[in-house]
Amino acid sequence: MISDSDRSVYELMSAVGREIESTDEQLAFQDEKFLSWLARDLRGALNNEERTQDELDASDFARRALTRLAVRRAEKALPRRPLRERTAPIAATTEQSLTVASANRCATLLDLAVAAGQGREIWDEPCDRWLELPGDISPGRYVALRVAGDSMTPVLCAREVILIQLDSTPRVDDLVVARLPDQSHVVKRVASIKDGSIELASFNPGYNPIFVAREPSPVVGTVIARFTRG
Amino acid sequence: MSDRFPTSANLLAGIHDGDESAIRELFLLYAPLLRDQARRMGIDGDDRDDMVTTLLDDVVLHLMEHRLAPRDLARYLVAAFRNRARRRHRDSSRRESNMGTASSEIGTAQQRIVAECISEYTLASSTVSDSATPSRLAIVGLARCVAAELSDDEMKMIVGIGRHIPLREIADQLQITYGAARVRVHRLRERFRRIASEYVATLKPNEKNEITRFLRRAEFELTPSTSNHPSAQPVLREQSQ
Repeated sequence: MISDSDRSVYELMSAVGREIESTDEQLAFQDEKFLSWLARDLRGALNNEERTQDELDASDFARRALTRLAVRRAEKALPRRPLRERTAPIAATTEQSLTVASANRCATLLDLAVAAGQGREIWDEPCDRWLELPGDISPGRYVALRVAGDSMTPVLCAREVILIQLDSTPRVDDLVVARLPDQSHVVKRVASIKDGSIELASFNPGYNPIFVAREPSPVVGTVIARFTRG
Repeated sequence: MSDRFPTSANLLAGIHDGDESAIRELFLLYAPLLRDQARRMGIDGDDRDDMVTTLLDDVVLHLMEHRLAPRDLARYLVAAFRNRARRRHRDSSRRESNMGTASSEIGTAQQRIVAECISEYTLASSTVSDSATPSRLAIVGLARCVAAELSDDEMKMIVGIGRHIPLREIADQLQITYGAARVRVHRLRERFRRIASEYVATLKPNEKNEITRFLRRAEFELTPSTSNHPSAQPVLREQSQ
């Protein structure tokens, strides 16, 4: 039999217990086991509506966290360099001028929209500007593209120039230029590579990921540097 | 923990590897715990959700970038959250005092009106603190007396009671049997009654009312209990269910 006085003492003990807990700065009286139990208990106590909301929030949270990490990695891997460009000494298409530009330590620079849905066929574009390659970039097959759109902000902003290493094998987290089935070109981050498909994601959360078949490879090349007008 | 991440070590390893489901699991498991901490610290609504999400966001980023591995994940998260909440509270108090100073130092009437409006807004938007209410002060004083006398295990027990944790769970945390836990709770109650009696005796009459207010419903006075046997059941969640 519980007496009323016992109940009252427990109420007071309970109030004092909560006060002790709130001032327990070192968490001396709340060990890992207790807090883990509490976490499970609180999760279990959610009603259906709260649980559904938490599931949605958790998915958003995970996607945002991964994007934020990818942004930081890309910012670190691709420091902004000053843009040095010059007029191409020959009038030719991108494909025709690749070898000549490379021999001159340059890359063909296309004023071409690379953002989602706006790309055109890269190789047939006439090219009248070249990007001078920085000294630390070894000779090879490169093409430079001027970015359009905001799908890759904050890493790639409109009018910035990216240097693409052609014929490279993409890995997860690489920034790549890929050709979509509708023949347009996009610059995206490789979010995942699964058996049959590649997931291409934007940094801007307002854009949905794109899934493309892995074979034949849609990847034109990997972004290895970014340039901005000083 | 879930089937996929049975321990916090598995969960952390998953987060290190950038596993989306591990990050989701971290949120699902610990967001309610941190929200509960926030509520206990008087932080509610959007502020609470923002603080919880921001903390988890930062923790995940650190875990992925620096491969940190806190040994006790729940304690680490709760401690980090409490630190931030305290810092936020300090900043808010400082802002209030700065605003107050600014409004009193401004010369022209027009400037003063603007400053006072901002100051009023800041005061109104800051968390209402009940720390100065008499009943809270009485509880704080009693908690201090209790904390000075109880052992660590008893402190864990009283914190558990404050949380309405089932007695079986408290027994499990203390690594004692359920029967032993019942006996200990009974002893704790008697000790607590004695400490509270002594504490109340030191109070002024108006302060004393604040403590006895808790006990008024039962018309109970802080005198030794007549039910000294351990079979007197504690009012814990397990018994009330």
